Amino acid sequence: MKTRSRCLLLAAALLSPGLPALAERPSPAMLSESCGACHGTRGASAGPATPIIGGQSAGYIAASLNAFRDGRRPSSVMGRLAKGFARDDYVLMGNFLAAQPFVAARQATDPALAARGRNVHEVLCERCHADRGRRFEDREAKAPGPILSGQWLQYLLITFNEFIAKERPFPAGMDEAFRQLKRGDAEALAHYYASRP
Amino acid sequence: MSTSRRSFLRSAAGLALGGLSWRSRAENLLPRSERRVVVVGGGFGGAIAAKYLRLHDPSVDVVLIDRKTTYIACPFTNRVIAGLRDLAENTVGYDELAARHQITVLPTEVTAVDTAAKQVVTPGGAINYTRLVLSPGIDFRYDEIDGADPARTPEIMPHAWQAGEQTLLLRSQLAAMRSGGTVVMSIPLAPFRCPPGPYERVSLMAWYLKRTNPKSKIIVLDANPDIAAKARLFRAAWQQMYKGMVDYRPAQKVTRVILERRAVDTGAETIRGDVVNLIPPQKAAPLAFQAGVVGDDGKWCPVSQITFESRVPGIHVIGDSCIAGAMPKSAFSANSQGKVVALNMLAVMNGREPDAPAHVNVCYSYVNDREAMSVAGLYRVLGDNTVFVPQAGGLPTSYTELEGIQAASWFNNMLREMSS
Ligand SMILES: Cc1cc2nc3c(=O)[nH]c(=O)nc-3n(C[C@H](O)[C@H](O)[C@H](O)COP(=O)(O)OP(=O)(O)OC[C@H]3O[C@@H](n4cnc5c(N)ncnc54)[C@H](O)[C@@H]3O)c2cc1C
Ligand code: HEC
Ligand code: HEC
Repeated sequence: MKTRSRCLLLAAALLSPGLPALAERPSPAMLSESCGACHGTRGASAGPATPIIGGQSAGYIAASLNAFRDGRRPSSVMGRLAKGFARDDYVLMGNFLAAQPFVAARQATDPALAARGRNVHEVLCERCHADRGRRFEDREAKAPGPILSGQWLQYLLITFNEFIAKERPFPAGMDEAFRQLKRGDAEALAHYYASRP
Repeated sequence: MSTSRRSFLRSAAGLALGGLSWRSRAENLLPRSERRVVVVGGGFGGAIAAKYLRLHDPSVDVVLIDRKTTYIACPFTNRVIAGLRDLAENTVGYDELAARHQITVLPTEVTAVDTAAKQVVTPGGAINYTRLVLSPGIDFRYDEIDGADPARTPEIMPHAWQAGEQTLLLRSQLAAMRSGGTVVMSIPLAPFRCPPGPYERVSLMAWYLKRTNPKSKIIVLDANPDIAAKARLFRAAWQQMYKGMVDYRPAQKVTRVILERRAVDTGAETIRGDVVNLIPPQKAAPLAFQAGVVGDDGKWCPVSQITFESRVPGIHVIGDSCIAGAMPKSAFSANSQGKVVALNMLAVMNGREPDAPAHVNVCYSYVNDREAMSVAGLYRVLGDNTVFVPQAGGLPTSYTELEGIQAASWFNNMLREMSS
């Protein structure tokens, strides 16, 4: 009986554009676990090109989904997927995934590049990507941001290229940091974060 | 003990038994459990269902049964056929899954489901269940093709639609084909396992032949009125890369085969091939028929779109065998259904309202060694059907190297998810 009324609500939701909030809708676990086929069980990606999302902050996950949906952030598949959820589903999924452990990737990295990346990080990035990229803290803009350390190298390289090619917009304050990068620094930074536990 | 006794008495009373001998029901393979879910089929659907049942409710005793000790996955086998991948990379075991989630994994054939006694029957004894999940995959409808039979036909005209020996056979036939030879591929009417799969195979075989056997060609006899998935992008890829090599013929249904001549017949025409990849029409796996969960179409299993419970109470069917509305028969769908069945079966067992299902399916296809394209879809339940969410999903504008990289990452995660 209850299932029936839920279906009717869903019918209304599917017919109207933009999927309004449903009185009864899939639980956070239901919504979030389907992401696991690409992002790994509860967001602990086995990589290498799909990012670890388990343990990222709810704010960052929701902000990313919003940006994918609106086309502000480039994506191959996430934009097409994000369009099918209500915007407040992003918060439900963000909360569910944020409660999972961030399981750092175990992967091979270049030690020389990582050492160089560390130096650059300390000068330009530690301010926001705190604790060597393990935490995020933007005191001024108060924007949500990601954990970088332990992320998959291949994903980081793709993302760095998107920033550098100006396909992915910089958050306030990060563009200045990137402007100071020298040739090869981006790759070194990616190796540094990827090498961190 | 008392159960097998009771079921024996039922047997004597002449209740439906599916041709079991009383001896096979006499002993239990595992001690009886009052809170046990048995999952048959350790593929993309079954392994995920078993794992997520335990993730959500560690009080449930979960037994996962597959006839094989290792699972050989189908996705990416078209790359094996093109010589781009080793079949070993497609193979996973169950040890880590079993240990991490305390799942009892049994490598044995399930010969029958005794629905009256609520037990599955294996050569080593019976196992009782509170609820049963079947994710047994597919079987082939060779009986619809004159001159074809399930034993000899695949040895001569491999389907390579279940991974393993068949994949390697098609690979070796392709590699050994005479210079300038013809590959004939026959695609059945939808629905079948992996709608874009045949067209990806055409692309990757063409990629391989273009390098090794440039005068050869591929004749594609498709029973469907058009390419069944990603039509625009496959057409563009063939036009751009394999012009003159791929001869695609829609609405050509193979109705007869002549094995000795390696020829197929569409009623209008008989075509000989040096290699014939005959992908037969499909149906649910034999166990689904034995268990009595197949629908009136005689092919697939109708299920509740919310709990995946079949027409037989207590038996849930997921994966390729089931009918899940608009969802394609894919590994991704099976994975998604495995998670939904776990949540909603537990809801039923624990006296809660089932959750509204939210499914995802994304299928990647390669068009050459590096580039791929995805088709994405979200699915929700509407009335008693599972429907495509129209606001989401769809195709990218083109195939790209980025999606080729992301496809490999997806598959890596799929294999990890089901085996750990
Ligand atoms: C060439 C090809 C390419 C593909 N590519 C993709 C792709 O890129 N993406 C995608 O999403 N999907 C793809 N697929 C589809 C995918 O492989 C299937 O949809 C998926 O395997 C279905 O999962 P399942 O759990 O229903 O069945 P299966 O994976 O077939 O698992 C069934 C299991 O049940 C076991 N079993 C059956 N009966 C019994 C019994 N009586 N006793 C014991 N064990 C039993 C079998 O041994 C088997 O391990 C592809 C398929 C093919 C053929
Ligand atoms: C088909 C595979 C696939 C599925 C399914 C999928 N994702 Fe993604 N996800 C990706 C890829 C690939 C990227 C990188 C961006 C891109 O190219 O689309 C990504 C990026 C992301 C990011 C950005 C992470 C970061 O560090 O910036 C978030 C957040 C995310 N996905 C959340 C989700 C959620 C939530 C779901 C489930 C509703 C989901 N994804 C389902 C493949 C997938
Ligand atoms: C002023 C604060 C700030 C500074 C300084 C900063 N960042 Fe960021 N960074 C952010 C924020 C906020 C985001 C989230 C952006 C978004 O939502 O798309 C982010 C995102 C990223 C990402 C994307 C991660 C992902 O999972 O997709 C990378 C990579 C990154 N930063 C690297 C750097 C590097 C390298 C530096 C130093 C050169 C740096 N950042 C300096 C605030 C900062």
